[in-house]
Amino acid sequence: MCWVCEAYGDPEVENGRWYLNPKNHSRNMYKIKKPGQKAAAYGSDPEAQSGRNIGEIMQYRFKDTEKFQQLIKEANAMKGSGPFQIGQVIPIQEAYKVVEMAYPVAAMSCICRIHARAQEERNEHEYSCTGLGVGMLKWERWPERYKGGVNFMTPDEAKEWLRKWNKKGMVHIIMTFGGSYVGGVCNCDYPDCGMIRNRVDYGIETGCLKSHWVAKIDYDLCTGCGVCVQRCQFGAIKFEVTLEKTNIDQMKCFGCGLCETGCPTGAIELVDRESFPGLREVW
Amino acid sequence: MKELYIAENYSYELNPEMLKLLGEEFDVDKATSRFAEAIKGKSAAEIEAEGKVFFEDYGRKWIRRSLKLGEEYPDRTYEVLLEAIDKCGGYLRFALVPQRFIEIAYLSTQDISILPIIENNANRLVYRMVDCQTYKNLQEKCGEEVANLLPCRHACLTACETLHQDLEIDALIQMEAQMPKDGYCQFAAKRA
Repeated sequence: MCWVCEAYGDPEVENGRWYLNPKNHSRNMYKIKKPGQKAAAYGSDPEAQSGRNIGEIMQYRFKDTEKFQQLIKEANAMKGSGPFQIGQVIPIQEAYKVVEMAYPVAAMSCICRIHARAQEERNEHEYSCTGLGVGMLKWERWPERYKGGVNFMTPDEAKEWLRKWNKKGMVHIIMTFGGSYVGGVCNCDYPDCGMIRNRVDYGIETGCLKSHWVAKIDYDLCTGCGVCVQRCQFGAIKFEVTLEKTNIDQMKCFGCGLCETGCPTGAIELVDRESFPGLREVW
Repeated sequence: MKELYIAENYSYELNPEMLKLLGEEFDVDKATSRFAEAIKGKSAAEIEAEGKVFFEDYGRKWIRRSLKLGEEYPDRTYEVLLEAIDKCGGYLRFALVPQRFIEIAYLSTQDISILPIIENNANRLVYRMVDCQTYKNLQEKCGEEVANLLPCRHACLTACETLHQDLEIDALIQMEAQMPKDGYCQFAAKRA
């Protein structure tokens, strides 16, 4: 079990998966402020604060590489007590369960793509991120963040929307928004996504933990088409020229399931990480 | 949601005037004083019966007034919720609409800044009352024995039942935890 499930999951609910615990999707709608207290300004939310904290680490990347490595080690050791958003890869089957449980679900523009590519997602056909929970009812407070607005969806609409992004090759990452409160499901790719990039390029783990699954290939069914190699964002799949089949490095595998959903012959399946003793604690 | 609104013209929080009105009309200090007076010299069985009648009546009026004032004093959060419900064909109505009025009811009469919501989804609305002024007042004015009978639970249960009936939402209301035993009260509305 990952440390997030140990901290925030309930073993009697959905195998202890923290992101499938209804309590982590629930929040009050209103708060009584003290006299003179104003509403939080843009940039004070957990997402922006986490980004600034990562930025503090990044400034040492060229200034002091030893300190940079040390800060990353310390950040990873903090786990839940650190000032970072928690993010975990989930396969589409679990993303479906999340959108059935989360309330409400709203598609919105991706902040990472705005930063990485100066690319604004202008309408509901382009939105690639979701915000979850009652906080989305106050989206207008932060027009800079939610440029173009948001698009509230029913669970069926949300599943169809997730399928669209999965087909395009995006990894689903579930994110917190303060403590264990589930704030969103992102549809991510390298290098646009800050969380994937921070993990793959710099080893910052908290924002992109591996899923509870690992991909496994049936060589008899594999035809060596290479679709899975193209879809893997984490470099875990290699085409073996001499065998004319693909091979999955399960130590590198994040269990996103893009290879499974892309495989035309059904040669790849996701298996519970717990079933591999050597992978049980590889997050 | 294509237009961008000028955010500073809206309030996303509950109207303070509404909260003040409700707080004054359903002041828990005054209500518990009236109850304490009403049960003087009565037996435990009579206190139970009196408590049920008294607090059911209080709860019913309290939530209906919260519903009425909540509609008269809308905030932008509620307006966006109604737009989202309309867009999603009625999905989201339960549990978010009852949640709003329950939060209005408790935030106006209790000394709390938030009402802990344990679950809010299409199947269940669960909320918790931890530092309850009504219970504390009963302990002070009526004694520990009467407070531990928890007659005030009828107010919260009736409020939740009445709210769902008036909103025409079919839900089963249950009490999942009780202050004397668990240190907090917890109520659940389960969609039928």
